[in-house]
Amino acid sequence: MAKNEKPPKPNLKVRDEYRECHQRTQITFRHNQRKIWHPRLRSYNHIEFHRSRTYGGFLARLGLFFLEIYDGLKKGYQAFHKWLFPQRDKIYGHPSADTVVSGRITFGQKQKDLDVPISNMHLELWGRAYWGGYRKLSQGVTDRDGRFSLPYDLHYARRWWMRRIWLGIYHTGHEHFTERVVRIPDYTLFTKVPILQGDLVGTEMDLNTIQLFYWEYRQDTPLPRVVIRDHDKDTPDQYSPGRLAAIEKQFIPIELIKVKHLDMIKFAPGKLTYEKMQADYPENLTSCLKPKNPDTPDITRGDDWFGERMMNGMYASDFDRDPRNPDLYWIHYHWNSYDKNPHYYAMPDVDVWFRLKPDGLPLPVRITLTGPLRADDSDPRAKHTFTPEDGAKWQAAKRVARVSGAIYTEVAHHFAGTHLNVEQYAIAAFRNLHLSPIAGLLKSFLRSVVLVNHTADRILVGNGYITSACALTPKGLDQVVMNVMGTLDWKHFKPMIPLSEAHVFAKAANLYWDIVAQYVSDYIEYPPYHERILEHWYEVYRFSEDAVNHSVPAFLCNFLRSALLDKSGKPGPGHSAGWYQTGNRMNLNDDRPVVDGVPRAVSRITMAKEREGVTDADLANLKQVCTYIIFQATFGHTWANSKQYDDIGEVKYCSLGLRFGTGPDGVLGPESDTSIAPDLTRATQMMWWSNMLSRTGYGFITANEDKDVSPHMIEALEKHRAAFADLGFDIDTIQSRTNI
Amino acid sequence: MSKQSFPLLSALRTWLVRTGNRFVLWLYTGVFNLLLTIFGSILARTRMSHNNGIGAVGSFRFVDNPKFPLHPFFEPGKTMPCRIRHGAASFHDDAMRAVRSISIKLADTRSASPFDLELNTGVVALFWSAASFLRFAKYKKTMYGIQYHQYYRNYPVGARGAYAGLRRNPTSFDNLHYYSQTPFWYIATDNVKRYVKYRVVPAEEVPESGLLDDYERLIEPGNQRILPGETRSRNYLKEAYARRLQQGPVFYKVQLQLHTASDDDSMEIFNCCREWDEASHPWMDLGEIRAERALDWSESTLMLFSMNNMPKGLDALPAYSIFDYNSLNYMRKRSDIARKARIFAIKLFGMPPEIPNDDNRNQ
Ligand SMILES: [Fe+2]
Repeated sequence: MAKNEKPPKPNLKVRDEYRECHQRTQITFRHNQRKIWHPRLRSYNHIEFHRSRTYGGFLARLGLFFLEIYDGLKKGYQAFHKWLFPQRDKIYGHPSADTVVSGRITFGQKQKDLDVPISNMHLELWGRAYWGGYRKLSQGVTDRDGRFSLPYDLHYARRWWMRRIWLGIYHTGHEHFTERVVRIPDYTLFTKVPILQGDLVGTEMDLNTIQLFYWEYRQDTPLPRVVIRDHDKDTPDQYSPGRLAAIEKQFIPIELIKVKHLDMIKFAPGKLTYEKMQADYPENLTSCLKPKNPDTPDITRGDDWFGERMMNGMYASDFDRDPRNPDLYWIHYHWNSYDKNPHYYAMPDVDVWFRLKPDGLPLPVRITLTGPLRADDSDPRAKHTFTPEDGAKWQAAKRVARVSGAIYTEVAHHFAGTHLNVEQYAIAAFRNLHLSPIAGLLKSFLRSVVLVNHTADRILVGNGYITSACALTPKGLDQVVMNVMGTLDWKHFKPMIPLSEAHVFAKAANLYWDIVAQYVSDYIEYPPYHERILEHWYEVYRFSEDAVNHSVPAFLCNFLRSALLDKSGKPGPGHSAGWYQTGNRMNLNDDRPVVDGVPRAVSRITMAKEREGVTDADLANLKQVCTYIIFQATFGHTWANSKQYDDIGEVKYCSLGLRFGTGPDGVLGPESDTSIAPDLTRATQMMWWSNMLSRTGYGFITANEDKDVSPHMIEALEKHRAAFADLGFDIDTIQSRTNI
Repeated sequence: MSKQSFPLLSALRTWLVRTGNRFVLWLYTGVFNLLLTIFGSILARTRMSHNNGIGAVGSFRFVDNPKFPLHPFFEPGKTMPCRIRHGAASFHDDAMRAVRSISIKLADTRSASPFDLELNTGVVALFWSAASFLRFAKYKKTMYGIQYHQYYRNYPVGARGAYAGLRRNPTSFDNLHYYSQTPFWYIATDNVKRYVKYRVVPAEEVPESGLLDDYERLIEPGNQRILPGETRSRNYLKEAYARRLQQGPVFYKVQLQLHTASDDDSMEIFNCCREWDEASHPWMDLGEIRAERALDWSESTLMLFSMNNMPKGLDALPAYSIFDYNSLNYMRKRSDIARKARIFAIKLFGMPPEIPNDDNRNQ
């Protein structure tokens, strides 16, 4: 194309239909309200892909109605109590340095964390009078070794009217920002340590080592995951009340559809068809675009659509150039090295080659499927290549590629790339960031992720939905997740370089990245914050150490290793040939930190423990890692999560697995062959999934429901609203946390 | 309404609080002494602690040229009859790790005296006020020679006192250093308010025995058990001391430290768990004890020492609450009834048996 020649516009008619359907099926979060007669959800922790814990019986609902009244009264009483007995921020008495309550706080997991101190933990010594009044006697923080010493007024603490005394251990939860944009650390009570009033007799009262079971790493998995002992009662993090109320309203109607379908399958076999099932759920993008006239070609099954969705849909694929033919772009989903159950579901390796059209969108030109395509095939190396000339087989091959891409996107991009990726930083942040302003920068974005991941362990991965709907076994799925996590690092990360003007995903990602990077840089450079970040640099050091020490081993598949690296393990001629797309991927030039003899995926932020040792590179690393975390927890997750409904919201178009089917062509049979699509149970469960994940939501940056997103961040985003809209992206849909 | 608006009300409030605190101190120490009298002195016929001891008789001579302002009682060069008693708290086994003591009486009597002093090993104490002493008593929980476990966990200051005061297998009572730890009044003839702390050390400079080495410091302070394979008998230390006296008199130096009271003194000056800085508060010789003859078990047991046996101007400092550092001595002063009741009970019910040299260890 000549330089001054404008790229041709994509087919306008298609764009108009697309825009209309996009509008029609876009998610507003305002419908799907729970009606008064709807059953109630026990809690978000109890959703299940079979049957969620809901209360449906009349008596149960009546009981729940009264329970809600009771809860309301309790909340009212608590508010009244708070008003009547305020916990004032004032130290009573005249504390003396000679009379202290001391101790040491460490993490509390046996054998692992017992000697690891928790530093900079906020502490308050409280007393309560017989008449109910609260008296703050002292406050302070733990030092680097986890030790504390709180001076108090002995005579005040031992007054006859003092009923009980306790040490409150507070953690900085997520942050609040006032209208005046002042950051307020939100000290939330983590636990109370009761103190016998009689034990306060002056000099030093030592509470000894207090072990907190606080953001502990799980020991039963090599992944950096947090221990959640009881999903309802003993979690390191909590959903905000608004989040729980929203999910119940949005979720119940979806759950009811699924329950109806499961009942029909059980009690009236044959009554439920794929069409009926599809019609019961809200219309999605691809079903909306279905032509009314059967003679009109269905654009959603066309090659243009396929290419566009691979580039800008939920898939947002990483396009490499074909090493053997640089004119072609190549994406691949290879499953052959993972543990699979080969008998029921087809899961061949998929390689798709594209040509970039003049309008900048990719067009598939060749698909190679490697592995069995029929139940009676057994050769895992059998290659089947298809081109557009293959007619119906080409259509079927695209469907296999779509499904393979959907599973990969769900597991690699969505679950591992955002959910688990963000969790590893969330644990390191909540364990270590307390007084550093970096806590205020990050924690709001890291909220809830460990909770939703815990739910996903049960219903999505492990023995959850995915392994019931495709050939991957729980072990195979774990292997995928481990390998993907092994390729994720914050260092030198950049979103993908746009392949063309039409690559709106990459353009939006880059625009968003730049906004976050600027916001992070401004935040860290803001003099009062900068000073405090340096003052509490040890927190950053500990954050970095925890992230690195618990990171999974770095991973690069055998093919890429031989294609890209030289003998010394450094990028070689293959890498510099330029076919390998480096954006959105781990930088292979970086040295991996070695822990216990194993090179790790996550890079160190700093080696400095004290402010004196902090280099410009350390500060640049800090900015980069914060930008990366915020990017992944917000935009990265939103893109993968919210577009599921567009791309896996019509069972026959795409699903999270395909059966071999009973026809002569196996999985390459037509869409009308319902022996290929997931069975009805898995089909309705899949629709439930994509609805539940994409059509429910709470915690958006611009909506700022919990008032914990910095107004600066919102302002920066708002400034670019039009630019995002030009890319067809609504900034109001960007979630401020990974919570679904 | 600020306190300044009603100075009278404020004064009344202060008076009420102070009176209340003193009443609580009076009540607490009274109840404690009552219980001690009934259960310790009368029913068990024992001292509160330090039952395991040996007395000696001899004389005391004040130094000729003291280097400090004199209290009228301290006449340079004067010699007085004197009795002392060495003890160990609170087990009946000399080979156990224990705080050792010396009690001094400037009279050759069992009780009446113009001046009594009670001192323990350790420059600092294990408790610092009546309130902390009551905790100390509460958390005693003796079992197989281990006690005060919870107390030492709660109060590092107490544990520090224990490590300072505990002695493992000293060779003799006469080579230990003993400290009064708590300060007393010292009103000399110049009428300047001063506080005094006393100590007793060997007259000749000899190394102190029984100090806890690094190994001993690894053993938690509450564990006072004898060492495994211990060959020393339950009475070895008393027997060694008696043998030592048979060879000739034993001499001790009594020294004192003075602190001139000032308005900006911190209350910590009274804290018996803090030593006074020796550079600014040097130890000065007060006199010398010459112990000549050991007393037998029954005579040693019948002796009582009292904090009420002190001349005016050298007596205990006033205490205002159970948290006051001086409340310890207030409590001791009020415990005469328990001390006297023990003697009365012994007269009534007989002498408690001497400690046998048997294998019933860690008791
Ligand atoms: Fe998600």
